[in-house]
Amino acid sequence: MLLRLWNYLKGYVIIIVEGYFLEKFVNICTRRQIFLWDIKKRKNSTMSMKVSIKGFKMLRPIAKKTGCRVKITGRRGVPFVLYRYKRRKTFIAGAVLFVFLFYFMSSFIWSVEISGNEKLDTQIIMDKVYEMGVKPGTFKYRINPHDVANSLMFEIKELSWVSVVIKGTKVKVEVAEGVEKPKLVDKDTPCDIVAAKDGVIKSIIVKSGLEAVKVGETVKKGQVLISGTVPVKNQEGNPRVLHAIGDVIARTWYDAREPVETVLLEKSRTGRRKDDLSLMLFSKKIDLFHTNSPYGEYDKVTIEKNLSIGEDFVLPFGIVIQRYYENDITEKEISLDEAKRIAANNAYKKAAANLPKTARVVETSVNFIENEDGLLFAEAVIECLENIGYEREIGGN
Amino acid sequence: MPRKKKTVKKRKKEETPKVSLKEKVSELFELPKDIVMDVPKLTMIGYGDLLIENFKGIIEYDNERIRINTNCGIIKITGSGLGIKEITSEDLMVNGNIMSLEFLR
Repeated sequence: MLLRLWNYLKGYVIIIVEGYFLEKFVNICTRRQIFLWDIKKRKNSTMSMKVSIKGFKMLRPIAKKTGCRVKITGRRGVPFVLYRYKRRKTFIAGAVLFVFLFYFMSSFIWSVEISGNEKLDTQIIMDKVYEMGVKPGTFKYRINPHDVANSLMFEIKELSWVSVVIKGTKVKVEVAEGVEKPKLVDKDTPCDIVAAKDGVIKSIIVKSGLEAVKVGETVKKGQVLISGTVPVKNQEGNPRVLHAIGDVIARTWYDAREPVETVLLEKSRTGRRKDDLSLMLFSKKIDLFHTNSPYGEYDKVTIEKNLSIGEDFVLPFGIVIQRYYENDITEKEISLDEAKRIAANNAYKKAAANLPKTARVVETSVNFIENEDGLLFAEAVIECLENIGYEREIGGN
Repeated sequence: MPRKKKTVKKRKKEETPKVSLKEKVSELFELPKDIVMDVPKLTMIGYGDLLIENFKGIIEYDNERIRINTNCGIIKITGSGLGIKEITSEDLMVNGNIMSLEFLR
């Protein structure tokens, strides 16, 4: 197998030798170090064999000596293939250029992908990454992923973990957002328990410190609930300060308003649409036959398609389709009850968005109020129980 | 006729000690015989492939019969569809359906 490959690389010819002293011919060949293979006797006085190009050049005198005639029936191998392409210079130039360009193009970054972020906007991270010099068109080998990851961690405090990987022509940035740590006061530092928000105290359990409010009392945000300053008997001017510990459960309310509207604007697609094509070349956009949007009311959808080989080898070419869908806007009258229902629902959703995860919902109610202008509003109130206390250093905030 | 026989016998007598000496040396030093004694080494795989190392030349070559000259006489191979797979100055590879292998001495 290996020998055959070697022979193919070096090139060989298939010849037919005709004559009476074929054995002699072969013997002389071997004595002169000409390598022959696949020798086959065909008819009485002909033989076919394979011989290397170098060997073939030495055959002529031997053939003359033994009175044999040598005829070439086939040429095989790389040298002959190359010879055939020798004249097609542009073809070879193209092939070389292709390989070179392919290598050249693949040593640049053509896309940046960010994943793992939930709260943080992708654009913010993207901007920071761009600032560090990692953007489409950057030379790949100049980027040190480790450095980028480190400085990204440093720049964006919200990130707890960053991994930057260069895959093909793509930079994959994976991040994990850290949970913001509550400001905890050291156990030995004296502190108060303070209300984090307004509410009515439902229960108060003091483990350490002095109760500052009573059950049923309304507290404002920032008010001291459990005091860490405990007066000592007989020593009025010199109270003891300690680290207050305790749970303060309070009723809190979350509310939101939504106007009740009996006239609804409804959008519906008419089915007509228009595509505007753009070519993306090296992050430059070239618009093709763009016209102004022909529709009065429309939705715009942008579809980006990048040319890529596999998933990670993204090429700097692509098309962008801007698709316009024509919309019909119809006004729809709905009954007051229906409108109220919708408004109440929206208001509730709006209020619930502010709810902390630890809060337990006790009651929800929806009221309809009319303001001075005669507009009807739906007001949703969510009542819940939650721990509103947090530790604050005495004298601090 | 009897004269001829005698000469043959004489030759044999002269040659035998020579060969045995070489053989003894090679056996003493545990050297491979094919190198020390300059005799062909034949390797056969089944009845299809025959590798002859250290041969002198081809005497006759045909699809049914191949005769090869070596230092210990002529090797005659008969069979069908015989061909020479490879040939260099040192070794020769015969393939095909080999029926018999003979030493003509």
